[in-house]
Amino acid sequence: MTRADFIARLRRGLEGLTAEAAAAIVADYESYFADGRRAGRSDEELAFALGDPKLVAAELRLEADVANWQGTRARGAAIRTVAGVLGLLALDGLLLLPFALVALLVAASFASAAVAILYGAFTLTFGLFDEPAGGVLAAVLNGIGRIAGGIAGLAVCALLTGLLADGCARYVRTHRRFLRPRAIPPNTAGNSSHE
Amino acid sequence: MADAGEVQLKRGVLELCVLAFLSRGDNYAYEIATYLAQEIDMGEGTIYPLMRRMQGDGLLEDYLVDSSSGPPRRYYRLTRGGRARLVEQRATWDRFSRSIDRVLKAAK
Repeated sequence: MTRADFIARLRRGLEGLTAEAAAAIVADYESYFADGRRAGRSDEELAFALGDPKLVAAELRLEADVANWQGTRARGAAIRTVAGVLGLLALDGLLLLPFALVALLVAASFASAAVAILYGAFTLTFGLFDEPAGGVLAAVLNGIGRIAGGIAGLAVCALLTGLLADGCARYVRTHRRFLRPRAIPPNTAGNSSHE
Repeated sequence: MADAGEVQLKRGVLELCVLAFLSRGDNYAYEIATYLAQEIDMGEGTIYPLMRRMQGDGLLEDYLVDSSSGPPRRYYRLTRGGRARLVEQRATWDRFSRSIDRVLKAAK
């Protein structure tokens, strides 16, 4: 994400604040980028360290609403504060939704692969030691087929688990709520840019 | 990567860290953010909302300083209230960490 992208998204997220309040916040982040550039960091790296501008904006807006509520005790401010918290939760929820879906998919695939293997093993042993309807060979082939299908299913599960882990890693890095640990940009891991 | 407990712990002491850092001299948000990101491994974006809140609480005040390169910089300094808060929170922290040390030593 470029500096302009980040600032544009931040500005959009700050709608609802007074013009002066939004401008002061935007100026803060502009100066963060300016100072970061002077320290030799790329815009990409700086935006990465800040996290998702939509969330940053939601938190700042919430901060303003809380201050307003504590200052005025006005009903409108209270409603905005609650709406802000719900908004943040919704943002979190929306961000989490894809992971929840993939996690569900992974769990379902694991379960169906396990069932296929168990059922295959059952058909196989049953076919060997009993007199199945279609003959021993058919039962054995049927069992082997199911087991192979189950193993293929497990491979798909491994793939999905990898995707899920990648997604979670990206989530953890881009989604910096208050006090989430600092993101270490991929190309500068280990050497700090702080002088 | 920090776990939830560590995040909770940092949440409580972050304000204290900002107060302590600024007691060494006025500074601007970027310096505070990168310093704390390095020292206690927290998100750099965290600092800006925190500075606003601390300013709202009357612990800090800001002033603009012209910069040779780029826009003017917003510097922060401790207010009298901020200094008082630092003294108070530092005492609380010292007491707390001594207690925890004792408990941990006793646990062996």
